[in-house]
Amino acid sequence: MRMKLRADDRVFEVTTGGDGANGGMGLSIDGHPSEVCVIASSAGRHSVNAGQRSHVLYTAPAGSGGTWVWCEGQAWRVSDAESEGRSTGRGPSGLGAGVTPPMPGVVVRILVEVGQRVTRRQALVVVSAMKMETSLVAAHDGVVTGIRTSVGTSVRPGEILVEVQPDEPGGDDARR
Amino acid sequence: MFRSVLVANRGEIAVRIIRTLREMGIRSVAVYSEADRQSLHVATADEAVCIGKAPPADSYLSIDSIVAAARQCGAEAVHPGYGFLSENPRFARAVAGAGLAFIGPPADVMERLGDKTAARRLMHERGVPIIPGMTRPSDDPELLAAFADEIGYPVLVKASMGGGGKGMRVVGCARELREAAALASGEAQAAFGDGAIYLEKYLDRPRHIEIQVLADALGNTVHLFERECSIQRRHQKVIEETPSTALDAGLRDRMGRAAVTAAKAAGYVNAGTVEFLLARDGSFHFLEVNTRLQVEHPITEMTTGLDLVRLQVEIAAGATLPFRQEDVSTRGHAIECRLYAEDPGAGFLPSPGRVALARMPEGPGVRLDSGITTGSDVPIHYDPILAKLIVHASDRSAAIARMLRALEECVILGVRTPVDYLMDVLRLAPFAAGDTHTQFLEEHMADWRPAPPNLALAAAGYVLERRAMQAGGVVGTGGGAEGLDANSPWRRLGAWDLGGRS
Repeated sequence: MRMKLRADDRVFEVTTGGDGANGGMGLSIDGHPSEVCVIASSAGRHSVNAGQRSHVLYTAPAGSGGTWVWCEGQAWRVSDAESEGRSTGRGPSGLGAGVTPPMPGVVVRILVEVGQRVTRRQALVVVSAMKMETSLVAAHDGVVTGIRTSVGTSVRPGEILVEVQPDEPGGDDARR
Repeated sequence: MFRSVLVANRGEIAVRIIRTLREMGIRSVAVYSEADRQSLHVATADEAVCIGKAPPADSYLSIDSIVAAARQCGAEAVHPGYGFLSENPRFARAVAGAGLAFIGPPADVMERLGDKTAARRLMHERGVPIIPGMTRPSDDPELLAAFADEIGYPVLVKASMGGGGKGMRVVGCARELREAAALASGEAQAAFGDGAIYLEKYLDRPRHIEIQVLADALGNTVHLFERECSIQRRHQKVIEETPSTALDAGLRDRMGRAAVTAAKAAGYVNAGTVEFLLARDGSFHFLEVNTRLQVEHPITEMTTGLDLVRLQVEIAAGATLPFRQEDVSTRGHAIECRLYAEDPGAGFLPSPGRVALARMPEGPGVRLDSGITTGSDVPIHYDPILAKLIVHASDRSAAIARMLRALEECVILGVRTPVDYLMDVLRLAPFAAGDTHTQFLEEHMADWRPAPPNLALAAAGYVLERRAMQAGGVVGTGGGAEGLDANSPWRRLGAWDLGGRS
């Protein structure tokens, strides 16, 4: 079978099918053949061989159908790229019409009002998490059409805090 | 000795203190906010008292709630840990006022050392070398300019009541001074409620070297050698080690003596840390005194074999120091890495959430002071430190190798941690050479990115986890006698049934 997976920010195609030459999982990663032999697998701990080397993988559920995979000091969030939205990559995500926090936090300041004109990269709202403040900025020039939060509110990634109506691309302003 | 001690903190440091209390046969009392009801420090203590809502101001910073909790449960002493109220003289005074022992220095000592310019004056008078600079704050542009000319550019503008790099600015030449001073003062006003600033000579790529001191109430004061904490990011220490590669026996002795002089000058009692900057020319300069236990205290414990928390408790109970300076020595090399809930792959953004899996390193020479376990919540309200990983080995290169091995074993899933970043720092040739300084990470790690995922292993892990979940938890383990064919995932795991067959 074929599937499209996302590991952190990397989207790739995996094709599985048949045994590999050494009796392990035959995998094709973006068209390149690969093989992973599972030596033992129990309760989130997996001992595997790949490319002549043995590795220990640890896995745990990551919510929304994703999986955390740990290997030798690196942690990857792996998910089905087709069934999941765009906002599960690492770091800030630009949702077209508004701003959402990159991590859970508490709103400490709202810097704009409904109806206000804002420019790209202008700070709209400040969110605090773990003693660190992060400014969430406008993804484009536009007008604030809604503020859906208030100071002191706990917020999560995916929640739109401030809505910005983008200027029409190719409109009069852009042409002039 | 006290029968019961309240630990006015949370997370890994609360757990660490409770462990020593248990070893001493002292009943431990934890305090917790509503967000921490299920947390490890609560489960570890003998007794736990809820002190308020999640925001720190309503719980861990609430002097009244904590003192009331101590009274309610009959504690005889309070250990503040670090952060929160640990350096707050009003808290120390409130604890003492309630008839309880404060496990730390007296309030007036904290006050004396909390004002940075006053502390600089005091140290200067006692012959402890300070960084050339002003000994009184000022916001007069003329006075600042005259002073900068006298000590020579570049200069550092600092907040008098500051800390953590806030209100701090490097000024390269005279025409930048006025604006930098105004900005620094504004930042200091916003952060500390006091806009007082002063100037210091800016040292190029110094090392941060601090000396652990210990003093009893009778005036016996010793030092427990240095810790090098030069590996910092945004003025936050990331990796600490002892001994420092920059100190020989003579310099170590001179800095140790200076630290003891500094502690005595302030009338210091209990455990404290005298911080210095070591310039490239080998001169060292007093920075400040931290009037509490430090996050990096375990490396001193590893090399000296002492338990600093035990000594703190004994001193607070009125005991005399059980050793003299000449009785203290060190063995081997120790390194600490701080494990924060942060994402180094996304600009070190905080990464709160639930710990989906925590499997901690073990083996020779490894110590882990952790505040989390599988299933722990990492709340958004508090400092992001999850755990401190400490290793001890016979020498520095063995300690680095041991730390790399331990980090590799340190599985934390569910929140992001800087394990891969730390490993890459430890693998740098300049780190191995001991050429560390406070701009080290800016110089060598500014362009760091996480290594790209191993896609075959990421895909295999995904499949194995999904399969295990569908099977209701545990997947059968391969027996040792099974041949390769029997280990084939196609046989043991059945079909790769991910949302339908192709």
